[in-house]
Amino acid sequence: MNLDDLTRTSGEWLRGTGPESDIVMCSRIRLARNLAEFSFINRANRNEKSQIESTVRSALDRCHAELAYQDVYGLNPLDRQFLVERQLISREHASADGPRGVAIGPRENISVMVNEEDHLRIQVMLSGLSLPEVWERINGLDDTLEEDLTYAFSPQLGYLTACPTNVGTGIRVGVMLHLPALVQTKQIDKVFRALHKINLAVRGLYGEGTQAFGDFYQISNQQTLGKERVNRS
Amino acid sequence: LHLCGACAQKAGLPLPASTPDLSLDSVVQALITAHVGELVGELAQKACPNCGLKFMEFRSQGLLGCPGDYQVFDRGLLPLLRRTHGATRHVGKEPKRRPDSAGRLRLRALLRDAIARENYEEAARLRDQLRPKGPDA
Repeated sequence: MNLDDLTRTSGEWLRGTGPESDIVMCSRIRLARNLAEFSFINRANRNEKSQIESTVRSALDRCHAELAYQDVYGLNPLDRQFLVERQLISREHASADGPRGVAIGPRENISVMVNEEDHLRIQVMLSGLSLPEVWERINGLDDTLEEDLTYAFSPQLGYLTACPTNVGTGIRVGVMLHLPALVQTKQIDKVFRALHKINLAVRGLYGEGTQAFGDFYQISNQQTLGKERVNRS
Repeated sequence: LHLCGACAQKAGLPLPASTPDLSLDSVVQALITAHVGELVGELAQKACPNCGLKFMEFRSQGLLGCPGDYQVFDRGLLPLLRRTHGATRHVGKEPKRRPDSAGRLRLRALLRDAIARENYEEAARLRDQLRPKGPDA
């Protein structure tokens, strides 16, 4: 794919359309998945990472989601940083080592990181507050990929992931919010305390470990085991 | 708005490399230390036969080495999962295929050996066994 094409448009999370988009910049769901027959990435050697990448890439090619694959290993640092800023790859994926890549969907609303912390990190995001629609899309993509891939799964623990904080559903459901008024009225800490009490995490603009500059916050679930994924009540 | 590294620093914006480490890994490590301390002696003797990970390595890194580790280190992991998620049993979506993860890991190791020994007939047989076979496989 040609990254220059992406520079002529804005990323999905910056589009500013969709329900409640004055507050909710975007809704995002990601699924962590691993192939059953390989070690996790942190124990995989270069050869295994290549095999994982080619296995996943074949499945991505067959899933008809109009995904364009970008090799991240061969990219220069500026292009990697560009993908991070577009929320298409994580900072960890940008700075990792070895064969890896990302499949990017039309309008940048789908990204599938290959060989991040887990073999697959599937992400769908839509501008505004649209979690049910995001779920429908990512669930369909996950089902399609599963036709070609054998995921690591245990009946007791669910989808098995490199970090035990993701085991179970492997899901992270989040919204990116712009909350300047709560910051100016100094109410934001009170809101965060309430969110922590119900086990929701608050992160900065670019995810884990980043500061919340510009009054942008990402709020997402922390627990992934023992809970139904879709609860619309 | 696009700024180069030097201008971003001058404007007081934090660069990715300079952000503090508040990653989940460090939280996990704290939880591991707090909740499996009494089992460490027993678990320290164990290593995964597939990926070679030792429980002490997991303790320091916060990451498991392969899907089989969940079974190998279950005594150490279950208290951690209970604390992190408030549960030790999965609820929700399941794959249509139920893979035998440990079996597939063993097959993959045998395949690696067969290729190293240049036994391509054996390698082809093992590769076929590793291919997804449909919902009832």
